[in-house]
Amino acid sequence: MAGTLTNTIRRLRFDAGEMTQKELADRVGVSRQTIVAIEAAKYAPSLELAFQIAHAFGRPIGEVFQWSPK
Amino acid sequence: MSFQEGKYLTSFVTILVVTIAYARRALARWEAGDFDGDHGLAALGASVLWFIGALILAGIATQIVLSILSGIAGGDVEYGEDERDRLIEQRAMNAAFIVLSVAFVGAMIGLVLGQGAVHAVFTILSGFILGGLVADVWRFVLYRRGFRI
Repeated sequence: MAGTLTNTIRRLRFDAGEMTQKELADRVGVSRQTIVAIEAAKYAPSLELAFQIAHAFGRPIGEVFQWSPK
Repeated sequence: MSFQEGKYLTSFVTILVVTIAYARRALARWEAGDFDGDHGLAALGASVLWFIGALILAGIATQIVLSILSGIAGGDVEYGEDERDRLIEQRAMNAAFIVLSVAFVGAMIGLVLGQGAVHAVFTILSGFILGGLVADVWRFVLYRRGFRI
């Protein structure tokens, strides 16, 4: 089923004291460009990476990524 | 433009420039009869090896220059590979493999139809080159446009 994946990474970075994309990228072990792509919803991360990002913010995955059917 | 986009755009242009230079020289030699006769295929093999060497050296040189320029411009110079890079690479390689397969089958059909071995080698080589170009375009597009699994 097709759907739309959105995320709140930008806001969560802001809440985390303006954490930079580079800092988040280093924490989860990907390039800054991959974080840029995820934030812009141009790339849907693997489940493991999604969990890692949620863990980096100390939030449940559902607070970071949301999916809604088209 | 991100570092990866620049990297594959540079790679595309490098392949194109080196290939055009080689093709002009190789076609002139072919017309002059250098690839005919008993030692023709050996000469062709040597010329293809020179071409591959030139392509590798040009690729390394342009990537070094790109990295230096990106560093000077303050852009991201990222060499590591993550899951997104691996997925893009996989898709690009799939596209390149399709092109190469078509060229290989085309070369075999050419042999069946009576074309010479030189034709077949050039057709397969064209498949590799075109495959490389298609892979670079595909990488560039996927990095720029983004994609879903």
